[in-house]
Amino acid sequence: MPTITIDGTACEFEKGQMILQVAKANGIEIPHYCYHEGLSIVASCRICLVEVWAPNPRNDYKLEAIPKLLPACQTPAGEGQVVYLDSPKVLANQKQVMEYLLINHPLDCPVCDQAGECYLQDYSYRYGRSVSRFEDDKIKQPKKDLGPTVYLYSDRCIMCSRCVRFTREISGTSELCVVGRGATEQIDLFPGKALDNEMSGNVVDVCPVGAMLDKDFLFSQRVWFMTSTPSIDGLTAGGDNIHIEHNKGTVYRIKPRTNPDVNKWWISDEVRYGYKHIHSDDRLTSPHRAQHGERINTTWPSILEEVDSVITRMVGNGATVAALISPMLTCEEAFLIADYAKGWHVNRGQAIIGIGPVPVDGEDRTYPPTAKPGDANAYTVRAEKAPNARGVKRVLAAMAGDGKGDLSEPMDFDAWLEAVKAADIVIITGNYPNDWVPKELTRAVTKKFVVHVDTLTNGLSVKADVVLPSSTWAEKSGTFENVDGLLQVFEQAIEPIDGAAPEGRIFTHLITLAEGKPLTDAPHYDAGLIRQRLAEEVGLTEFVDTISIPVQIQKAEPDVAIVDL
Amino acid sequence: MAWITKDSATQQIERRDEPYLSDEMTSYYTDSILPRYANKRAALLPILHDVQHHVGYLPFQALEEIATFLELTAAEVLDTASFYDDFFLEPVGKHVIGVCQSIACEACGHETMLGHLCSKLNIEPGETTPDGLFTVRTMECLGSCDTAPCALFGEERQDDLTVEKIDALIDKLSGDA
Amino acid sequence: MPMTEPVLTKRIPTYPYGDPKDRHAVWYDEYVKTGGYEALAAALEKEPAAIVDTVKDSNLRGRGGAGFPCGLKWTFLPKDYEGQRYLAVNSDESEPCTFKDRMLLDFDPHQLLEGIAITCWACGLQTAYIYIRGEYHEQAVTVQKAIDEAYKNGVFGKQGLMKGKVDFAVDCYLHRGAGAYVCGEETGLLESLEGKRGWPRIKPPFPAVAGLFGKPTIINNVETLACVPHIVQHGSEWFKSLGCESTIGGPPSYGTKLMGVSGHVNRPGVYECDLGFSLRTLIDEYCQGMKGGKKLKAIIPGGISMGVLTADQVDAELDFDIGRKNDLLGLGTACPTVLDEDTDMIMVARNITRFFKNESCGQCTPCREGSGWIYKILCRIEEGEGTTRDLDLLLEIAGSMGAMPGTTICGLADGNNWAVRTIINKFRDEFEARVKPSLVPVTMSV
Repeated sequence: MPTITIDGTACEFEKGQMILQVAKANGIEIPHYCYHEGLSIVASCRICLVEVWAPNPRNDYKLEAIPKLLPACQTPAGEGQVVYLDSPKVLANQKQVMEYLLINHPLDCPVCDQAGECYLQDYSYRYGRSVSRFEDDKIKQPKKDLGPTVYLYSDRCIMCSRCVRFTREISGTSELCVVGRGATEQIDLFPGKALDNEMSGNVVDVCPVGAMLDKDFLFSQRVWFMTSTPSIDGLTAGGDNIHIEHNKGTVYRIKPRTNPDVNKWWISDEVRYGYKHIHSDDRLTSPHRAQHGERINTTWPSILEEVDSVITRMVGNGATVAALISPMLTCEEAFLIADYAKGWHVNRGQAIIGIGPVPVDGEDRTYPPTAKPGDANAYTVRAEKAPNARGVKRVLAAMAGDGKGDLSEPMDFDAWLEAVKAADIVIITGNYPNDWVPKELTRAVTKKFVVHVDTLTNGLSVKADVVLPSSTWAEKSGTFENVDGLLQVFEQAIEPIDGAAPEGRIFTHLITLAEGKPLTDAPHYDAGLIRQRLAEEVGLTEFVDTISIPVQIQKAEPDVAIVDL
Repeated sequence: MAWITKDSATQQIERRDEPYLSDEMTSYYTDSILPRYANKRAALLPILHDVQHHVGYLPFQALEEIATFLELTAAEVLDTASFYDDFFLEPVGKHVIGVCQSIACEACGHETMLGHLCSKLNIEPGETTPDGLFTVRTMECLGSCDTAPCALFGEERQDDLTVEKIDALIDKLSGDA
Repeated sequence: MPMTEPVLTKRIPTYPYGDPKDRHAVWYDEYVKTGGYEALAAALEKEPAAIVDTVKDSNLRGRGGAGFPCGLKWTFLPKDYEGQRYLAVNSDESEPCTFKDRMLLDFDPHQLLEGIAITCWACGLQTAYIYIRGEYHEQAVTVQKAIDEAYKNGVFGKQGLMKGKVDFAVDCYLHRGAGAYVCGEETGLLESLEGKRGWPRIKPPFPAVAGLFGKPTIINNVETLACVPHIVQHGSEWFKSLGCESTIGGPPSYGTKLMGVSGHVNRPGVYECDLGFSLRTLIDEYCQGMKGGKKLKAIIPGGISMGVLTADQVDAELDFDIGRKNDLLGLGTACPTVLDEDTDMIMVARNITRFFKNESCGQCTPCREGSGWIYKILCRIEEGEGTTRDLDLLLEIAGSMGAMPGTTICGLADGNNWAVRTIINKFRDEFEARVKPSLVPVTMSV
């Protein structure tokens, strides 16, 4: 492989790679604004200029300086080249570009949402000069309403044109354009034609400064107070990699996490803004049971013990168990619920297992719209609105196929509705972001003992015998399998809201009780341990071997020595 | 510093019922302009010129119609149109007078000419007379430095301007109206 | 051997060979009667490659400002490429002080069309676009009329290149710009031709490989193409007998050159001279000296982006060496603007930077922000509000935009730098007299 030396480090590269890309791949920072891996190269911000020395074939391949500074983003790496990032020319250019970018910038960092994650701030600190010599009037530009999701503060804009390129090259909608030219040009819309597409939120992510602002997040948090937890989209089948950003138990925003194999750099607005049900007023916050049509709130230990004693009694009288396992749940939870259900059917028929309804909305849509399905650079908005239908099925099918005969094959929802007529005890899980319960379900389970495990109030939760409030994906860890069969682990971002518990913990407790042990003996629910059991007990070794686990972001170390005063 | 705001997403543009692109115009574009280029978009500048020639400026509605005709988004058309100084996105007077302000003209007395023109018409550069007859604008080099100071009166270049010459031209154009 | 008869201005009466009063647009019939399209006929008898060789051998250097060898440019086209290729004729003559191409368009459009036809035949280019600046309304009409004539008379179109003499057809179209200097930059021009904003493209790929609509494209200036028929007709040796050799070991400056003189001279206008012609002779003899007998103060030698010459440098020779010899960016378009002793050089600097501020396309940070900043400082200095610190700041900003080469995609910022830097350096006393002293150093930290 050819080699290029960047900032003293020898880096291997593939032909066609740009210097900036090689540097990135080798963990070397070259400042840049307009360059974005997912967009075309325009080389217009000019802060990535580097000094390159190249072997001259006409002079016995001696290294000679290329007189011009070259944009690292647009210059292909060449064999034997030496790239300097800290030569006097390079440093002078970086300082000058930083000064230029700030002369018409309002410097309103104290009230800017981007503050703390702003490349103007970061690069000013690292590459800028400490004073500006600009003493004339700044150009004022308006703050614009761009549509349902985004504001544009034009005065903060540095004209990197990433957002314009995003709407042209990825969303394919071309709503944004540059109006005017020179120092007074600005990003804008055609009047009245809003930035309104299902990928719109990404323009906020690609904006390296505080110009594009998320209306949903506007003025809600200072970014440095938030913790960012790597997670997986819990709403659709795409398995988009995300960061859940939260503070003190509240989720404030969802950001895409780059994964070239899944969502690239993007997420749809549905994934971005779909988290609102986590903090909905309709969340179930107390376990309760129905008594003569009344809803009686109770405590977790007492309700779990009651469920256990009722089921024990009914099973003793020959009752059978059915469970509906939601595709919104993790693989680990599916395992525990099925494990619990089959525990009542040792040597006495099968527990009837079904997979909850898998919502589908329209058809898959690919971005850019010109991309063919399967295109490596395309992002797909999935029509299937459940994160784990495949993972749940994978676990349940493996468990049913273990030869013990205590579990039915996992049925789809319609088949299960038919089969459930034979059951007396029904465990139903939900965890959908909306009111999902169809009338047929309520009808099918009347007069049965219904244990309803769900997050939001719905038609079933007001009728079920027992309601156990569970928690959304942000409040737990586990594994989802996306449409492409990729098993992705995610971590718990926030603590379950008061009164709720993850399905995994609920069923760990119920299993402990069913085994005749007291609740205090219940093991801690740990998704990692369950994955081991999946590998060992069910033979699903992929849950140990091939799952992908998010890399935790290292906290930045200060690059100045901290001394005691 | 007061905030300036703009409701880009909800802004209403002025509309009229009659389209700016007549059937005659579009068939001319289809027959004579589009075949010159490898793609439709390249016909944008000639079409913008033609529409401005007919309408006097480029109303937003016309930009939308051009976008539809060329299978572009309206924003893409605006992106191009707003780049060029000679495309007017706002109404201008019947006669647009572009006074050259580049170095040869400034060295040869453009300021006097511009000043005279503005005081005669009682407007500032960039403005239009209340009767909608004249717009005065400053332009960069018109490529006629040997005849400085010069100006474009509509599409006609006027060389070696003098105060008297300007008076005569304005009087003539006012009279024509 | 200096020129003895006009070449490019053969049909355009020009001092000292004719009287500009007799100028008129030369249409097809008159053009042919005076020997027009003979070069094309001769070219069609030859192998295209031979024509490219002749032009390459003639050392014809681009007349648009950069002076790049025209024949060499033609050889950059991909070999053995069968598909569509384009010629883009740069007629976006927008640089202040420059008006030489306008004369060719006004009076002898067929000379350009013949050059286009020969170039297209030589390089195998099927389509030519003449990108004419939007302000040239009358010229657009003239050129369009000439194109129509050329179509009718078998130069262009299906039955073209002299009525189907060869199995090759060329289409030629006029494409009007709309007031953007940067579209004279060759890739800005291509973007504009494609119906986009004229933001210059990043290179590589170079236009000869992937230009207009992604196809191989040659971009030549009007005057360059107007030279081509003469070279084809009279041979490269004849062309090399005109103009001059380099005296500093650089490439030679062959041929004649149109030089448009403006400013404070008695007889401004376009003249045709050998390259290497003395600036003093041009001003004193051709232009009949300074207007009102005033003293010469400065000369902008050819397009404001080249920088300025002082009165002491009036003996400069107008050839492609002028830049290296006189601290200029280059010859540019060789259209000097002469300024007399009453001219305020701060006004000149302010005017020039206003142009660059207005015409900056806004793509690259240094040019977009720097050009406006420089202009604001110069306005302040002109009003007497500047300080000595501002002068150093100006030089530093200008330097970071252009002197440190490569900080922007195109050369517009370099032009801005050369203009500002040479004016301040060469007339620093005048600036210092206008500003207040400052004790604050310009650079606080590096």
